[in-house]
Amino acid sequence: MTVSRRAFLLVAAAGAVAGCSGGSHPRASTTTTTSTTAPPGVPQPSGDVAVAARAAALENATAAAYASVLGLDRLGAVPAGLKGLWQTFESHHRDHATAWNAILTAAGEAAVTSGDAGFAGSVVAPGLAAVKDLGGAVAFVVGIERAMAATYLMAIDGTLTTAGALQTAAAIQPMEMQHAAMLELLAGTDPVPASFATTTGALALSSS
Amino acid sequence: MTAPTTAPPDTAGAQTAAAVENVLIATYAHLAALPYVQDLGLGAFFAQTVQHHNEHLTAFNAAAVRLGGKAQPGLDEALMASVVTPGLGKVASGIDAVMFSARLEMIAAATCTAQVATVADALLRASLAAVAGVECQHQGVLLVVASLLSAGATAVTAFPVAPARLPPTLQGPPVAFLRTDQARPPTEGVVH
Repeated sequence: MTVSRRAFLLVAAAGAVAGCSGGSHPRASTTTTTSTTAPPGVPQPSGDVAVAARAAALENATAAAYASVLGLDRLGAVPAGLKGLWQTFESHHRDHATAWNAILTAAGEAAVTSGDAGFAGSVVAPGLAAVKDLGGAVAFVVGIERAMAATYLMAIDGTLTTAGALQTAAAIQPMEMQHAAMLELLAGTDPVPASFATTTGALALSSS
Repeated sequence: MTAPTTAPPDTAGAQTAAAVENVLIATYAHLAALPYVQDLGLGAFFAQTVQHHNEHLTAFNAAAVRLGGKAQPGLDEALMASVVTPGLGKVASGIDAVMFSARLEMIAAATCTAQVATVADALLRASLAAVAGVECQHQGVLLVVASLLSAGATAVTAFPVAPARLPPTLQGPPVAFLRTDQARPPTEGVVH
């Protein structure tokens, strides 16, 4: 296996990871590029709407990461079962983005149709470049899934306040963890390493 | 005119979550004793999973007590009567046992998730969310195991699972969102 979870987390720590307490950890990458970018002087969304925009952008970037992995020629022939699993998870992430965009449009905001540029540039691109084989590819997407799950848990624990956003995050976070667990069975790492989910490795919840 | 609806107290939610955990612990003990389950090679996974559920039980009971209620030492009897007892009666093979376990994990996860947006206590909300994800991890492992069994494996003793062994169609199948339509009502496990 070429890319371990630790290696992934180190890449993430150098990039967009906010940390579990949300207070003293650096937020090296907080820039997002989305279709909601407003011109100077126009207020940016805040609160749950801001989290929805960030989540949609991260989901778009994650779906794109799966698409990139599926297109890596250097992996050779991907077994049909694994290919199907990746395609299924890619579609889940697109569904998640759609759910967040529904919250955005209901609030009068534009849907976020592009990926989070900071996450894509600091985490996805270097992680993808480091993938050398099938095992490395599995470990790479496991790392992304774990970061996404931690991010949603952080949002639930201390950021989101409206029922709709809480329900959306609560319906997605367990499935990100399930994605990771199913992939970890293939990666050879413990698929259920702890009794409780944690926010370790969470990404920043809002752009600034 | 109908009376305004009010959310059940958080103690009820914590007690119900604990009662569901008790059901899963008891059910895994029952399944683990079945010969065809013992043949699956899942002993270590079942033991670890039961340990997780015991820790979830402890957390929910601690929350119930912290919030002024009593700990829930018993089973969710409605869940037992409507799902577990009839379900166990239909378990006749290893894959049946695995799929039934996966269903119970989903029910436990849904019970937690359904309460995330309704409980008032932030610590309880955090516990519910932290547990739901782990239940779905358990379910994910079980769905992969069931998929391997459905593809002809008789035991799952080799980890990691070689990607080539994964069948094109997964049992379940995995879904994008955790649905809450099978969540147990939040007052079902209340302790009076």
